[in-house]
Amino acid sequence: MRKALVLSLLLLFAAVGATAGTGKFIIVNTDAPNDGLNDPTPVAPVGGNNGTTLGQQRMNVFQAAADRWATMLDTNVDIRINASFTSIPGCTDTSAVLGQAAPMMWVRDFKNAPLPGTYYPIALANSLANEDLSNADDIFVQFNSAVDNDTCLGESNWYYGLDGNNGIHSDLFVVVLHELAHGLGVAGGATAPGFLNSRPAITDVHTLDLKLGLRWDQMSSEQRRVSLTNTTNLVWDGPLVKANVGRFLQPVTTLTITEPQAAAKNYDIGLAAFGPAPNRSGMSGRLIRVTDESNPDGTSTNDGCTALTNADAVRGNIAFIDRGSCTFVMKARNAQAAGATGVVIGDRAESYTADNPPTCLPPGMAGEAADVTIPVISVGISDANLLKTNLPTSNVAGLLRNDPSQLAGTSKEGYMRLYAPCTNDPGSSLHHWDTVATPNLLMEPSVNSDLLLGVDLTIYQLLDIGWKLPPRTGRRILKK
Amino acid sequence: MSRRNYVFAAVALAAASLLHADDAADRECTRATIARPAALHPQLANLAAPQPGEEIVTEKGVFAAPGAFEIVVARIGTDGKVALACVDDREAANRILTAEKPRMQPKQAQEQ
Repeated sequence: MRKALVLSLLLLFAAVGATAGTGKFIIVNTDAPNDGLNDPTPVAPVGGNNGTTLGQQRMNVFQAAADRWATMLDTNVDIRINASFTSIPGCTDTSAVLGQAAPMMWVRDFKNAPLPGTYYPIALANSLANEDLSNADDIFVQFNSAVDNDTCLGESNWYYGLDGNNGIHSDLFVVVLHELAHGLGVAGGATAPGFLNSRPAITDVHTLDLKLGLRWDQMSSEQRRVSLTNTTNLVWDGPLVKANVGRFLQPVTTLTITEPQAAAKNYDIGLAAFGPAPNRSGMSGRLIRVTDESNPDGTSTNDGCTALTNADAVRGNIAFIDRGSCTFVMKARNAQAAGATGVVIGDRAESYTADNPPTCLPPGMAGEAADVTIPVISVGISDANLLKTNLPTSNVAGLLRNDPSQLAGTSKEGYMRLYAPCTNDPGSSLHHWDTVATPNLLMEPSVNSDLLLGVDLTIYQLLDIGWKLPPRTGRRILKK
Repeated sequence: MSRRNYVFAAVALAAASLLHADDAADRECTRATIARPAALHPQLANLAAPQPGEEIVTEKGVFAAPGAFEIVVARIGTDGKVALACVDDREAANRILTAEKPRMQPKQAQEQ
């Protein structure tokens, strides 16, 4: 599928610099001669990028990403991308800033503005007004050419191919595609939970807190501050995204607790790199909290780091084990030795540090263990606490299943979840999809290069905020 | 200078004043205190910063410079592989760039 996408991209790159309207995506090269996008260093063509200099290849990637969006958006006003690719000093062999992007301006109360008092990114505002409101550039993108140096990120450089074969390198095409989406409007006017000049951006009008039942433009600043960390309950309520999640997401694999009523619901689960695949394991039954001795291998009596002391109770049931003190593999082996039919690891706040704050989502579990034959899953901190509250006094039972009524990345109501980690980490969330989305999506906070679905739900998010599809070709493009 | 060009110039030259939220969320899952680094990572210090300012009212609409940029950062993980993350502001980017062991990818598995 990736090759088909590349071929279509190349054809589009050769044939189209324009949107379906009269507007064009124009890359405004702001770099100095012989620098960045003008770098004359000879290079061999790579991965479908036929540029023969470094500067040409960089421009080709920018143009390819711009053209990708151009084919999907209808506007009669040029979209000017203020682009630079110069060296940003200060990167190390292990850390670097790759780039940044934003709308050049936000504008409200312009001609044809759908909502009064609401900021729109300038490119979208121009399109809605059907005129260039500012006669200036519309999207700001800046990328770091120092990534290609030997001292920056070690051997990892920018990959300039268009075929996704980036290996150990950062895939520039995917990053530019992602950043341009922010420039087109998947962004806020200010650092969340703040509003630019105390007025909402159009994205805030579609940010819904399911627990409060309010959108961000309806909340006070204090309500937004709390809402920002409302893991699993902060969603995008735009109708087009909601209507199309099924085109891109898989059914969620979930731990469904059936009793007691106080704990009964679907639980987000984390997956293990070992043991059988949970969605095929058929794991079901009663959860029993393990007990083991407190010792240097594991100071807690519920961490499963040594042989279980309540093996008789665990046998034939699902072992519930606290995270911490030893590896997930160790816990799984001890549970299996006691006769457990499966393992649920309950995350704990104590497992985190200032450098690695909790997200409140269930952790993924690494490890190699060919001898573990029972399924192993995890649940997040809040869910673990809920289960532990009920385990001593109630028969807690459930099963692992694919729930066809809910997709991986949506709420049970079908809204696409926004990334809202429970640690109040200002500015690191909100304008990205929740990382539980499966498969990976373009606008997750981790810019994954293993994208199988192109621009996926992002086009619908752009349509939700006011962009229009080309009248004839748009619908063909959106078909899978 | 025409009014439109003034808008662009004024926006581009507006003083920086980012809005920052207090991080004192009160959640059921215990919140870890995020240590704030004393200094900005050198790359962020050399990176163009958003410079929001007052609104500029014109006959075409009311304009404002952006108050936040979306920043993409990269770290080499303990597995030797590069991991990318996009964050909504400089403080979050600084946290990732300066942390001893940052969580780059929420889906990334850990051994314990």
